[in-house]
This record gives sequence, C-alpha cells and structure tokens, in this order.
Amino acid sequence: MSASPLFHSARTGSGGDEMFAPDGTVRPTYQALHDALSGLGTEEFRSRSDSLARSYLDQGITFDYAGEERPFPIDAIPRVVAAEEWTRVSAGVAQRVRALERFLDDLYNDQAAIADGVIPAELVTSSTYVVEAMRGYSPPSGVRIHISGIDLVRDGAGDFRVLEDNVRTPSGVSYVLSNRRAMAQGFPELFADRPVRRVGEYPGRLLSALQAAAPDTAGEETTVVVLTPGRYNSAYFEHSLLARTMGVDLVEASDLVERGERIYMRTTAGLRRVDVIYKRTDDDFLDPEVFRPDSALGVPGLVRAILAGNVVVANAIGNGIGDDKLTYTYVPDLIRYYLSEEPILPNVDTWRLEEPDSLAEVLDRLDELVVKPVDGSGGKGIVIGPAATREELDALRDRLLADPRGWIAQPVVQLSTIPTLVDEGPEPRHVDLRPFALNSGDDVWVLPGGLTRVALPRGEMIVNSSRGGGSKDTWVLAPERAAAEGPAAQAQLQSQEIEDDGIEDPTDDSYDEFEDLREEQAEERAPEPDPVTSAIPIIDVEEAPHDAQ
Amino acid sequence: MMLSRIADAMFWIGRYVERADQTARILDVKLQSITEDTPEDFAEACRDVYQIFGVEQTEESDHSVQRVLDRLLTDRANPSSVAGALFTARENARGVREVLSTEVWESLNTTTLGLPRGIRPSRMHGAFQFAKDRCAVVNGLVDSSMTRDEAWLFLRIGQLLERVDMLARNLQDHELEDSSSAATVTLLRSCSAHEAYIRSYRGRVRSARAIEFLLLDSIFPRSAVHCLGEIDEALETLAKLHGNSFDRLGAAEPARRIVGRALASLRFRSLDDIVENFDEEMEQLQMVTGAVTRALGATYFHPAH
Repeated sequence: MSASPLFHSARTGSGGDEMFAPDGTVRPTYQALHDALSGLGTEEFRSRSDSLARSYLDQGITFDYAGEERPFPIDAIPRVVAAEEWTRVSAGVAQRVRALERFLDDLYNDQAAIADGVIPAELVTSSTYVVEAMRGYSPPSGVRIHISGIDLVRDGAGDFRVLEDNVRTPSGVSYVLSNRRAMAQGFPELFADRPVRRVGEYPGRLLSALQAAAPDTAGEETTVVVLTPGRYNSAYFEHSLLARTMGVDLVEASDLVERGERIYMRTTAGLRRVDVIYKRTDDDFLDPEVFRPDSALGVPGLVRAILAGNVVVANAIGNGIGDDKLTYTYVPDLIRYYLSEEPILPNVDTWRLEEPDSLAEVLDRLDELVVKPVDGSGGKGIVIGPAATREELDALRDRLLADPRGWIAQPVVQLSTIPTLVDEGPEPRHVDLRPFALNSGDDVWVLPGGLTRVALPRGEMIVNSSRGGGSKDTWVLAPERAAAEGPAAQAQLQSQEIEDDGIEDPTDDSYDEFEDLREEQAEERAPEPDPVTSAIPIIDVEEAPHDAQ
Repeated sequence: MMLSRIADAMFWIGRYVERADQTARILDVKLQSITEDTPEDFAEACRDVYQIFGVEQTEESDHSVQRVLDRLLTDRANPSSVAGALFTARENARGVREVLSTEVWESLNTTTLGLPRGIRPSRMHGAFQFAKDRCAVVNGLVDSSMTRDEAWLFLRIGQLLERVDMLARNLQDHELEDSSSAATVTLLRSCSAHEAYIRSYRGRVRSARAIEFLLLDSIFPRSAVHCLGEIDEALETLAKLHGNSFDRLGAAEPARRIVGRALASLRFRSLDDIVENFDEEMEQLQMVTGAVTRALGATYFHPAH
C-alpha cells in the first residue's frame, strides 16, 4: 500500500516494529487500526491527541514527578494484541502466578524446594526480603499474591518473554482503565469495527478477589479498605481511583488502630472493624512493632492482628522474595517443580553473578550487557552496557565484585517498537507490557489488556514513568468467530450476543467504562405479592386537570 | 459513618470554597468602589479591606489596589486569599477523591488550573467573576451530584459556617454612623443582597434596615439567621444518622447548643439591642463559628477513642 502521510516516518525497516513489517507493509493485526488512524489525517489526529493530554490534566490523572504533579502521558496510538497471542500470554501469566504462590507458601513453611535442591538455601538466607515474622503464617484463603503485574517484553523473534515479576505492589492498572476511557471518549470510531475486549470489570473483580481473601467474619459483611501512604505518594491517583471504583474507604495508616489483635478504622461513629487491607505501602512502613521501630508511620500491632488471623493484608507481607531478580532466574524451574508443567512464557536469559564462572563472563562483557540490581524497581540502578561510559562501567565492576548477590546481568533485549506520536509525528518507540492478574483462590484471572509503557526519548529502552515514559491503550482483540452459516447459525448467533458483552463499544448509548461483573446465574426469586401502592392512584381523578381549558 | 479524617476534609472543602466565593464578592465590590470614588484617605480604605480578611498588620507599600489583589486574590500560599482558598479546597479534595463525585473533583481541579498568577487592577473584575462562576459550578455540582449523606452534610455545614463568619466580618467593617446610601449599597452588594433587599423593602436603602435584612431575614439564603437555622437542621440530621434519634431538647450535641443559642439571641432580641454594641456582637458571631468548628472536631473529626 502507499505510504500514508500520518505514518511516513514510522517505518523502521527493522523486524522489531509491531505495526510495520520490515518491508514497510502493515502487519495484519494492525491493518484496521492503521487505516482508521490514517483516515483521520495528521491534523485531526494531532488535535485529538492534544485533547487527550488536556483531559488528563483536568481529571487530575497525574503522577508525582520530583515533587510535582504531572499528567501521565498517554499516546493516542493503541497497541493491538491478537486473540491467539493473548491466550498464550494470559495462560503464561496465570501459570507464573500459580507457581510463585506455591513458592511463597513453601518458603514460609516447609521449604521443600530447598530440601529437594531446586533452589539453593542461600537464595533465601541472603535475601533481605524474607520477613522472619511471617514464617509459619498461612493466609485464611491460602492466597498471598492477590494482585500481580508480570512485566513482559518482545524479544528479537517477536515472542513475549518475562522481564520481571511484581508480586508486592504492582501499580499502573489505573492507567489501563483511564487510558481506555480517554480513548473511548476521544476516538470512539476506532473501536467500531474491532472487537476490543473490555477492561472495565477490573474494579469489580478486584473487590471480589479481596473479599474472597477475608478471614471468617461470622456472617457479617466483609469490610475492605485500600491503604495509601497519602496524597503525596506518586501513585496516589491510582489508590484513590481503585477505592472509588470499588466503593470502599481509602485509609491512611493513621486512620487505622489495633485493639485486641483486631484492626479498626476511626470513623465519625467510633471504631469500625476492618477485615481486608489492600496495602499500597511498602512492607517496611506497615508496622513499627516489626519493621522500623524508629518509624512513626504504619499501624502498630498490624502484624500481630494478621498472625492472629483477624485481618488479611493483600498482597501478603513478605512477598518481596518473589520479586527478587535472583528468584526470577529460578521461576522456570519452580514452574516445573511445583506444577509439573513446562513454562509457557520463557525468561530473558540471565546470568547469576554469584556463580563465579558467570561473574567472570559478565565482567568480561560488561559493555554489551544490561546489569540490574536484584531489588530494584522503577528502572532504578540499571546500567545498560552499550550506553554507559567507561567510568560508569568501572564503578559498576567494583560494585559487582563487592556484592555479586546484589546483581544480575542480561543481554540487551531489543524491545519491540510501536509508532508513537512525538513532536515530529509518529515515530517508532520502545514498549513493554504489564498484564495484571487477580488471584481469588479459585482462579487466576488475567485482565484482557494491560499497561503498555512506552519510552518517549528516541532509542531509550527504559520505559518507567520516573524516566519520562508514557503509556498506550492496549487492545486485546476478541477471538474471531466462525461465520454463522447453516442450521446452527441461530444458536451461534445467540451465544455471540452473550460474548459481545465483553467487548468495548463506546458508541453505544449505555456505554459505561466501569461495568458490574456479569452475574453468573441470576438468583431465583420468590414471587412477590403485588405492592399495595398499585391500588392507590398517585393523583385523585377529581384533582387531575382534564383537558386544557 | 465515615472516616473521621475524610469528614474533616469535607468540612474544610465546604469552608474554603465558600471563603473563595465570599472573598471574591467582597473584594469585587470594595475595590471597585475604592477605584471609582478615590476616597480621601486611600490608605485607610485599603486597611479596612485588609481588616475584613483578618490582615491586621499592613505596611505603607501594601496600600494600593495592586497589593490588595496580590495578597487577597492571587496569593496561592495564603489560604484566606481567593486563589489560596481554592487551592486548599482542591488539595483537601484530592485527599477525599473517593467520596466526592468525579464531577465535583474535576470542577475544583480545573478551577485551580485556570487561576491567574497575577492580575492588574484593570482586569480584576473578570478575575472575580471567574472565581464566583467557578464556585457556583462547584456548588451546583455538589448540589446535583452528591448523595445527601454524611459527607455532604459536613461539606454543607462548613459552607454555611463560613458564610456566617464572612458576613460577620463584613458587617463588622461597616460604619454604622455612615448612613449614606452608597456605603449601605456597597455592603448589600458585597453580600449579593442588594436586589433581594430592594424587592423585600421596596424603598430607599437604609443602614439599619440593611443590617436587619442581612442578619435576620429568615428566607434570604445568605442571612445569618437563615444560615444558622440550616446548620441546626444539618446537625440534627447528622445526629440522627449517628443513631441519636430522639433528642427531645435538641441540645444533646454541643454544636447544636452553640448554634441554637446564637440563633435565639439574634432572633429574639430587638435590633436596637444588637446594634448598640455592634462591633462586639459581630465579634461574638465570629466566635460562634469557631466554637462550632471545635465542637464538631471533638464529636466527629478527632473523637477520643
């Protein structure tokens, strides 16, 4: 097809772009989107993009950047993931969460994986993330990873690989929800011919998962709260959005108090019991009795209440060992060990620097590898060899020799690119993907969407918002339906209608971005007697005005 | 039942939005009259304006319309300026997003985004109009999009208390001896009461009548008596929500006692009696708002557990 003016500088000619194949043609998954965007024309596209940014500022969809509230940059060109590929991603993410659940449970109880030689004991003894106070604890529902975000990237061959696991407090899901809302409002027609799966049921699913985690409340209603460090936290917008869309209270530590190994919140009517706390604070600041005696933050006695089984904190305290990048290197083995399955999503190749041969090799090739601290998040501490100066590499070498357990090394993954609007027009920029999974105990559900983060500076490989990253709406396409033909057509048509409920349709009048969970089965209701009021007319005939005088 | 911290924040959102609104109204009228009439003692006129808003110490250099605007309209760090009050309201709102409707939050947020950082006297009217309009939008959305639950009641009480407080300050500033209709019209206009007054009294503007109207009229929504009555009603509803359903004396709540007493004192004394020691009476009315705030704090915002 001929080069469209909108995308004239977006073709890379390399194999790593998700929209354009190396020969410049549009890949089939993106064809419809590409044509619709091109049809808008450059001027219209840019003006609508600008209004997206303005609407984020107006709505206060911001993150804290060096003490300043900034609108979270949203790019108006969505990412599209084909249905078959998503099936694999979704299964792979769920598999990983199940394995990590088993791992954490094992680690805090029997430590069978160490006895069986799957992981070395040093992994645990050397980690700063194992919380001794939680040893022997099992949550009432057995779930420790209620919410997870598994970061994926595409490798050179275009296949998804896992870059890191986030099973402590993964953030970003609010942007998945608000990006979709903004795109549906700003570009409703783009959704017209593409069956994009809905993301709006996330808050309802999250609430169900949190309620399912509750301790036994003796038949009383479960009280769930979201715990935030406060409005100066960089992710405060997300904490508040999740509390609001779930319809639960957003509390700060000072709103909570422990009495008799139960947790209560301070309300205008006195103390009220809390059953489940969705914590969005670091473990270190949860309970000064256990973590930091010097800290004024946190709820003294919280850990005692957890161990007494009277309150559940999600995600569980002590999950940090699951995020440890050294643990990451063992996850494929853990999947085989606990689940007797082959990993669906491979890791990125990784050197463990505590192994002397690996350390020697890495030190030798420092200028061509990526080196990451095992406890880093938000892109902090990462050194990309090819982009580093000689001095930086020398300093890194000393640090690696001093603390090999503290680091891992990986080859530079050539992240895939997607056209992204910058000053010069749409240009290829690097992206990753964070799908979110909820574990209710019965089932691991993966949100059909996820956060696509994009590195806005040209050539930049680190996509975190703290490094100037933006995001894209992520479209997971619904599976293609077989053409309805023949005698089965009618039945098939009906099942299609049911499926349609899961698809975005912003042009529909009744469209609402946050949808209630679809009822599995409507409860059967006893027939009610006719209300007495039906016998009483609202207005007496005598009083009612007759025709116009 | 709601979090104490959030109840507290709702109350202050109500107060600060009302403060911004009232401050804009009063400044709009007072500064316009200063600019038009160029009074003999210009510094004195400026000092009077500062005094309404509790600014007692002023320097020689503060006595210009530009400085008044800098300090009382656009200074974001001063919570008693129009901009400062709106920013404080917005910061409070950011902490209670989950109980405010999205519309209310967005209207407050866009209001602060649109506030100018500095304003010339020639363009001040537009800035006051902007602030008043935006407060009306916020109040309108509060009115039409929020459930009449506890959160709303606290916001409403805050709004009404602030209104009484600002009225008392404004009246205190009014020279009773100055019976010229110009000064009285200024007073009425700064309370958005001029037209309502004219319709009620159908005649010349008289100082005593204006004070009567602003303090005692039972159906003018900015009069002291009307606001105190509404506060009492809101406090009663609040008490019912908390299960104190049968308060036969209506005095079980400390806040209701304070409000009821002030209300009775205004309504059942003669106007002459009130006016006799007017400055002191208005000072006391301001103390009432402080006392109610403290009583709410002890009952709802920081109860001892």
